[in-house]
Amino acid sequence: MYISLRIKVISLLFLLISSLAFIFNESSTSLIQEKTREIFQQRIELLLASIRSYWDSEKNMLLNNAILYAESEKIINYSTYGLNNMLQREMERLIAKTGFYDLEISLVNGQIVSSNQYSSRRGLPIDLRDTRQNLSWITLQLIDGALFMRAEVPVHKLGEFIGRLSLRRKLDDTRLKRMARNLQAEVSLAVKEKLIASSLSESSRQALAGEHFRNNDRKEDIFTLKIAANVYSIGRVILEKTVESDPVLLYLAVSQDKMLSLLEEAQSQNLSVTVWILVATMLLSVIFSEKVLISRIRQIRDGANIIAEGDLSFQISSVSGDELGNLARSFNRMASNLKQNQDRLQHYIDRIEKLANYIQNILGSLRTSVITWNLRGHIETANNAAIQELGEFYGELEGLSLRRFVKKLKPQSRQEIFDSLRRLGDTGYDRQFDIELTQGEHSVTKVLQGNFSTLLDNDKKPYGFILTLTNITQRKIIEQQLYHADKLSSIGQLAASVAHEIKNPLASIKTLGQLLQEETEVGDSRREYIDVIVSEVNRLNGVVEQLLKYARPEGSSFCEIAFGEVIKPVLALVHHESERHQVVLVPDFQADLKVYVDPEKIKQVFLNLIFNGVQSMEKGGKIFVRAFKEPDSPWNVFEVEDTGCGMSEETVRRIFEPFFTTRQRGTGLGLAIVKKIVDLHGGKIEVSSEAGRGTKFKFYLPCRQER
Amino acid sequence: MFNKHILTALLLLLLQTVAAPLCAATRVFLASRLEFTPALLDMLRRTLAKKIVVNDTIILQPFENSVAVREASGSMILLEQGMDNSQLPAEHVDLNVCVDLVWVLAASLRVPDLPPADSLSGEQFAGLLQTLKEQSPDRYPWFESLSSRVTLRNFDVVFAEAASATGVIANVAKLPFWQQSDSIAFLYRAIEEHYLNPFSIESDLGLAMNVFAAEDAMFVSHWVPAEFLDDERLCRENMGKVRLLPFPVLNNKKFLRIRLRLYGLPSVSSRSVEAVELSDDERFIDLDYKADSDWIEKKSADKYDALIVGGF
Repeated sequence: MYISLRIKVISLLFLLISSLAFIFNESSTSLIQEKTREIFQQRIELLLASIRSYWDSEKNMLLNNAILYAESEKIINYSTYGLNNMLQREMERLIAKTGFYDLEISLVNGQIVSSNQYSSRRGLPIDLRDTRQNLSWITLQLIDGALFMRAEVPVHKLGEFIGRLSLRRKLDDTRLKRMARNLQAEVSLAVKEKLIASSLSESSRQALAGEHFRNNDRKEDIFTLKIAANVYSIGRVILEKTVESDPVLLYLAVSQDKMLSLLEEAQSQNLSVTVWILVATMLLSVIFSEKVLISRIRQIRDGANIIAEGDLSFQISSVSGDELGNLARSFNRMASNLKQNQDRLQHYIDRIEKLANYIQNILGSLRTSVITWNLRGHIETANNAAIQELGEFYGELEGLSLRRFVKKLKPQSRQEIFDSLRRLGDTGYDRQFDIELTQGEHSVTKVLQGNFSTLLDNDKKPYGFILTLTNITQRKIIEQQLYHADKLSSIGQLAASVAHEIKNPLASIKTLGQLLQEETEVGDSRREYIDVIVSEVNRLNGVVEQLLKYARPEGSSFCEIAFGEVIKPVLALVHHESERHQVVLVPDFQADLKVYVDPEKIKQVFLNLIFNGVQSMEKGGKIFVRAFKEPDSPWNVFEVEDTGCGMSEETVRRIFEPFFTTRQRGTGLGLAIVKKIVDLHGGKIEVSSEAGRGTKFKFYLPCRQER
Repeated sequence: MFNKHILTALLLLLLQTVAAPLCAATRVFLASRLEFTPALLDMLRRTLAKKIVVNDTIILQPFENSVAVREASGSMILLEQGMDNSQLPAEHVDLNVCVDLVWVLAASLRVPDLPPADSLSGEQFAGLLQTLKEQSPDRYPWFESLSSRVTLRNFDVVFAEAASATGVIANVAKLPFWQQSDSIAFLYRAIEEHYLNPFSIESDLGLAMNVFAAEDAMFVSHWVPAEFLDDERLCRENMGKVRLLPFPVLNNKKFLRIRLRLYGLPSVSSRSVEAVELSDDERFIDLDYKADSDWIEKKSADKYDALIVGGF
């Protein structure tokens, strides 16, 4: 069934129910009105029927009370023994307690004692022969326009008749209102033409009194009386007659208006019920539409949102056979297709990501730096090796322009870069080149070997270029050292052979010179020349000795020794020389520092370095001698630093070459020997110098355990 | 602001009224042979208030038995002289304060021709009764509380005194009631002659006083504080228009008297009690508690039966 039709049918059904409720309300109200009138009529009849028994119960109650009082011990004793005042007080007490109108005792001697003290009087003595004196009865009395119910009972003392007690109740408005409450109907009493008492309001009482006055026959009847805006159903009954034989009429009145108002109230309640049914119908319609339509549409909408958020596995659960069901099925199908496509796409993405990761890992694992540039000359990617290699020079590589990149290179290297790029652009072929990077003025230069290649897209069109760089610094250093070592070795060997060749002639020259000295007199002018010859031969011998010391392989005698024992003789030795040059020696070393060295050779090292320093300071200065154990390192470090004139870069570079000297009378072998001894100890030596500020030699010797 | 002041004032007033009764009553326990009616208690209270200095209201509370006397520690106790005072709380001492109660015939001033004398002779009394009876033949001018054993004992004592004083010892059945020398015969004949209300036989002192107060009787005997005898105003305030007479038996001119002594803590004695010395008076016959108790215990029942059965 289509939804629209279903809604129409249900709406019609609800409309029908509402109409039926309204019609039922109207018809039921009429029916209730009719039935109510009948019930009302019956109620009056029932009231009239039951009023006699009610009236009898009222009389009996009065009679029972009178009997109760007549049996009161105090009443009897006070009556018997002439205690009239006590009797009156007791009767007043009883009346006050019970609310009866009057209590009176007539004694056999004619004395009458009443609860009303002004009524106490003397009457005729009771005729004891009158047997009626022992009877009890109830009478109605009309006294001064007021109606009284009077119960009269005999009073006995030990079986002896002593008088009669009468108890009176006034049937006034108050009493009738109490009766009205019990009977649930208004009660009025009338004697002759007068309405004596009534529970009705003043206006209603007057209307009823008028009706009573007009109605002459005064027989029992049920009639309706309209009083002001009220309509009363009234039942009239003759209760009994007064002692004067006047009939006492009792009117029972029930206000129809009260009933009608109850009906109106019921009708309005029915109307409100109808309204509530209509409201409920509307609510049910809303709930129905919510349940059947809105919630399902909302379900589809929520499903669309879920799919839009990426969860393609969502399926609408409850699918009916109507249009919304068809829509839900189509929705589920669409979601399934989307899910399949998404899975396939995800598969490809995974593969691509895997491949990309693979390539990335390769690039990351390479020790060669790989950098890609775009055609605008900016770095797009750099692998880990490139970042490690160049990071300290450039910081962040990504986005770095070619201009800034080459700025860090030495001029020669820049030229190499541009030549290579030009060649790549011109010929399409790459060319290998070396570039040098320098960080700071004194840092070690990093040498990289690189080449450019073109980066092509799938259409073989260039969209960038790749720069690969390999660090060859170490290789260059080794090459340099090899070259230097070869050079030193050749010089040493050459010098050694020369020294060996000239040593014997020098010995001959020296011997002959000494002979000439002996044969020449002091004061002879030739003697001075001969002395110079001998002296110069001695100096040449010293040079030769040093040359041989440098070139000749010597045995070493290593031992562990306190550094102080090594350095102190050296300092004592150079003391006079340093003072002469106004140079202050500043030793600075750990007192307990132990070194494992050949002491004589190391003394030679320090002697050479300190002499070098002293001689570089013509105008005085300071020489710092330091020795310490480098923390967490296998090396002992030794430094000799002067505050002399310093050296040029070229001098520094060649300082350890044999025969290289800047002094006129130097042999050029001192520092070469120093380097050789350090090498012999397995250590290394560095020199740093700044022209005009001084030179610092720093050499490292391994500790014993590392040797 | 105004309401706040009113509320504060009301609160203070409330606190004052709540706190006041806590210290506004002095309880005095009573132990005596007598049946204390509300009227008698009120008279006694007024008399006692003049004898002891207390600012509080005095509340008199009769004991039912001597056991309760011991429970009255801390309160004052009025104990009839002659009663066993060993039952009193140990710390109680005699405060030297006495209240005398006398047994009188109260005569309404409405009695016609009531002589203004301080006493009546038996004959005068009979004459007055006769007059009243003639005026209201259906009513009894005299009422007594004859169900009370104490009353019977009072009649017995007063008759014994009167007889010993006049030497009359005869009990002649034919004589009028007022000439009888036996108390029971006297009463019986008075009932028989319709002067004394027969209902007296069933009445206690409370009812008797009510009957007198309701003016259903012109004469009734009961107990009053001795001060009432000489203070007409005090008597009128408490008893209305009455004259208090020695019971008119033969030529009796004496009142029966009992004495109540006040006991309490010594601290009360020094603080709030004014010692009053009472001297003996020729007008009174002091009752002997022990003798009376013995009589009541041994003879009252027979006397009461005789009053009902008669046969004199």
